[in-house]
Amino acid sequence: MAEFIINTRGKVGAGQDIEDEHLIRQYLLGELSEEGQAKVQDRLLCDREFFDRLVAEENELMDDYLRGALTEEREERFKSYFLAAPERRQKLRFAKALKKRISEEAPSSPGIEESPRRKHLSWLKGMSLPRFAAWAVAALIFVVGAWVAIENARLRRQIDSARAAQAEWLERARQSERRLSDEKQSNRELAQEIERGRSRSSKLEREVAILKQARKAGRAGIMGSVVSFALMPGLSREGDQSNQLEIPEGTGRVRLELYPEKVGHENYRAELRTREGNRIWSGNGLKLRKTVLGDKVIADLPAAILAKGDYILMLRGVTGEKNQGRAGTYYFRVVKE
Amino acid sequence: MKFAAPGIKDRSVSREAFDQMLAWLDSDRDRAGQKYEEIRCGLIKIFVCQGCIDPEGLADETIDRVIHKVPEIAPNYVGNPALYFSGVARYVLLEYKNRMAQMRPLPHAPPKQIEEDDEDIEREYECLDHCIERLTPANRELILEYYREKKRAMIENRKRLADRMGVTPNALRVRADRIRNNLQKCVANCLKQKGTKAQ
Repeated sequence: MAEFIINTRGKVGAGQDIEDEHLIRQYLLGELSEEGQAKVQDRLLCDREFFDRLVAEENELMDDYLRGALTEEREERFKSYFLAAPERRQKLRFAKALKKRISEEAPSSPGIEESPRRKHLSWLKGMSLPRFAAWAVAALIFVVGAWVAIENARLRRQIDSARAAQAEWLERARQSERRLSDEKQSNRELAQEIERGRSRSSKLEREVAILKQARKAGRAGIMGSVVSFALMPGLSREGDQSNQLEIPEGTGRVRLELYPEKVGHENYRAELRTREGNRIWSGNGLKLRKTVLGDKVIADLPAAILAKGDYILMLRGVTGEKNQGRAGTYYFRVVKE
Repeated sequence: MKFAAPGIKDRSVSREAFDQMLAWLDSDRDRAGQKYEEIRCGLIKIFVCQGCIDPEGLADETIDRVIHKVPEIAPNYVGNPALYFSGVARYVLLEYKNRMAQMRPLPHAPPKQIEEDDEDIEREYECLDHCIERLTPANRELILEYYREKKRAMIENRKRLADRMGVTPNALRVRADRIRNNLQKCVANCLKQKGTKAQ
């Protein structure tokens, strides 16, 4: 059906599909003008089918990238533009995992062809005595009947032995499949063990780095000191000065007092990202505290993770298990003394 | 009790204002709810496509702004309301981009994130296995078959699969994408459940 739907510009058929695909791919790679982007965005909100196709095209684009099927120029745009959103990087990680999982999956067994027995039986069924033999004696009928019976028995034996051979073959295939799967499992376990080792070692390295910093801070006599900052939410607040955090060297922890735009949730979740979208910290189950200045949520995080630069903190209100709503977005700059 | 700090514009949306926006979308409440969901999904996608860091937050910001405007514009508005959301989203995006332009990138990469490391990747594989197992046998077979082959063989494979299922290649593609997206959501939920505790 989709191939023959007339779109708003009056084009019909598969040609329009190809044109849309081309347009979507250009949009996804940031190759359209602002006007072109606005048109695509309007269609995204008004045309559900177009939305579905864009989602499908996103997946296709990622798969093409993973297969190395993009041109050099498009691969560059894919990395610099398409993957700019953290959600897309997460999606790519999922696509990689799915690709790996599917390649590990043994290909399904080929469809078993129709048995030749049926053909033989139909041939037997269809077999009739020639018309000119109608006058033949009963003895001849008996001979022919006997021959048919013998032939039938022979065929049955052949089928039975073919079946036995097929069963044996299937059993062998199953055994090989099991062996292959066992080997894959042990390989996977080994790889996981190596990964765990690597992860433990990198974790230890990080801890050593943090301890070194803490020791340095301790020598300066301010180990474990906490600095607090109040942050106001919003996209269009004036200047950056109000949200500039000056963190003295050797500070142990940073306490961010977040004043939400929306209150009334059971608890809050905060997520801290760099300007590039890399998540560097998150905290769940944060509670709203009532103060004379207004309700606030406190996020307490290690100062060591805050390097000099700009950050975005997203606060979400959580009510129940799934219900999450935006409570505020905070932009701030860290300046180290 | 609601108590916003001074100087902060209260963005809380009342039930009444939200209902008014729904009524503007469609006089039938169920259809209006569906349209609202579609618009929100579309807005999130727009912000994702523009590389925004908090697409859901920006989509909600857009919706909140529209909700506050509905009493003023609804009586004389002509056309598809979704287009109004699209216009507001452009302003929100512009403000976001201006804000981001003021921000400076980190001079060097920050210390590796505390919570996300190699163990997370391992958890992702475990979750993917778990979620694939939870698919119906038909959906499991479809997704494993659909994405199995490579390049040219893949196109042929998909044609065969579509023929076998008696659907068009386009319909098959949409179905496979829906399963894939649900699988990704399942993995994300699974990771969240296995994830970090409150700090």
